Amino acid sequence: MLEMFQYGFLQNAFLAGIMIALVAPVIGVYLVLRRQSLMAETLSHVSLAGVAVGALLGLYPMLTAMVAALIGAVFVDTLRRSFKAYSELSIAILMSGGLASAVVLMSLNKGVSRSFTSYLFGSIIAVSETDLYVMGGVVALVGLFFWFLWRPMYVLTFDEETAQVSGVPVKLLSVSFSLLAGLVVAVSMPIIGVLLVSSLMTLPASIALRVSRGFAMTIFVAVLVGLTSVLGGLSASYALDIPPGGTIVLLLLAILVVTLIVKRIVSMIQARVGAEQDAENGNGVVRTLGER
Amino acid sequence: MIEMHDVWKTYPNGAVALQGVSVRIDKGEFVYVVGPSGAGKSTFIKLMYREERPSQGSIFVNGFNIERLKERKIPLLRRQIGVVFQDFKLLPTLTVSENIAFALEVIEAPKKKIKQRTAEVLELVGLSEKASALPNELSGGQQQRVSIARALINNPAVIIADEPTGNLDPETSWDIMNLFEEINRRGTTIVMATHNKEIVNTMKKRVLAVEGGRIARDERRGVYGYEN
Ligand SMILES: Nc1ncnc2c1ncn2[C@@H]1O[C@H](COP(=O)(O)OP(=O)(O)OP(=O)(O)O)[C@@H](O)[C@H]1O
Ligand SMILES: [Mg+2]
Repeated sequence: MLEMFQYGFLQNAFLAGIMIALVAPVIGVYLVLRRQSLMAETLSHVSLAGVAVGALLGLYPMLTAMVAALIGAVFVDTLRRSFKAYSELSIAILMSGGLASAVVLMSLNKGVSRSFTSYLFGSIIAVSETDLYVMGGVVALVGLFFWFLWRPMYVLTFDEETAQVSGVPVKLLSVSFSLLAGLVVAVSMPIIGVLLVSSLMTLPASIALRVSRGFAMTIFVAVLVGLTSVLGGLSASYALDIPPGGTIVLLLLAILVVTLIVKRIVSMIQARVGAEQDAENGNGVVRTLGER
Repeated sequence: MIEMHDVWKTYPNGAVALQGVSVRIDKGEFVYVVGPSGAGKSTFIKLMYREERPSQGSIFVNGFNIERLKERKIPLLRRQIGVVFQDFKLLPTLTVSENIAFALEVIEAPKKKIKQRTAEVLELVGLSEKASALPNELSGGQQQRVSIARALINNPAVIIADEPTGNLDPETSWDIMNLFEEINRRGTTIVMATHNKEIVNTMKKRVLAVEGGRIARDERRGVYGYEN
């Protein structure tokens, strides 16, 4: 298996995969906690339209994808804020609109239909050196964002009202975060494919939220799960010659299922141990309250 | 500490919750607010931490004129008031210590100070061993202790509680009430709305009875005075 690293394209794919796996799950945790899981999906469809425009105009597709995702992010954030009641509908419109216009634009441009599928399902040969630099830039941006703003972002995520009265610039921070999410979606595309990008954001987050105690651990577990699935998925993709998007998400689902089963077993064991202890204490209530 | 002068509150839907309430609560006092359901107790309490605004009248809390308070000064006010709710309002995905530390993260206190202060208040409420538990792994009484610890984290001058024992069984309610008494003994003013007749009658604290939006009784060592 190790001989696969002799190929430059594989090195690029793995480098890109590691970068995505570091940032996408982190963004995902915040998205899930803010009940914005749909946003990743929406932005990926919008950025696909960006790719289509780029292909049509002969521009660098990752750039046009980023521009589209940024515009989409501002839209989603504004809609969420101003039309709370209609936000689901507007997201649905944005999502299907993005996908539909991408398909139409792409079919106008006969020459590129093959590379189009690589944007849909991901590809391990699609990562260029330029892509790597752009990705590196986005990863650095995500790092800077959380380095300087993790506390206001933390407060905003868990308690928007408290954030507001504590003087956190809620609107600005919320938009910035959405923009960041848009950038991450746009740069993740070449590897995992636009249709599965949101899975790499939200699945590690939901797995981590199920098994973790507290916030710090949630972030850590999410990144760990993301890295495992991306590295495993890319290797499988190379070995079996199938698109990486599918293998990565299947791995994520497998991790999710195993997590759920293990959790169930653990809680069954705990219930039994607890019952035995109660029987020993001679009553059903274990008093653990403080002295005062 | 807390002063209200002829305070009226009419909600946007027209409900009149308070009608000309004037009261003064001094530093270090322990005050029960009692009265029938719908009398205006929660409204009275919400006005103190600026959750609601009065329609008329003036309110002072620890030197702040609540009415004239600039938007950006609200955090300063909130830091001097700890609030405890009937339903705890803990964040379910955060550990006990993360829940408690939250208010200090908000003001970007140094990490070391957060750690130290969190340990202090956890110790005070007797939950040091539960620091890394999640809220749903705790009993109701323990969860209320966590929310009391959270209210204490900024070392506030006053703690305001709206039916803090409303969801707890009688024995646990007593534990919680003793904890409030201990906190009061350390100098923190406490204002608490409650329907717990037995506790009010036993503790012999100041009792404010609110009826139909007015202060009907104000007794130094008062009793509950209703049949629940
Ligand atoms: N947000 C609100 N909007 C409209 N009316 C309200 C609101 N909150 C309270 N009221 C009304 O104001 C009056 C006083 O309510 P409040 O909640 O202060 O009573 P309370 O004494 O706390 O009652 P309880 O013992 O049941 O908690 C009631 O008539 C109530 O219907
Ligand atoms: Mg009430």
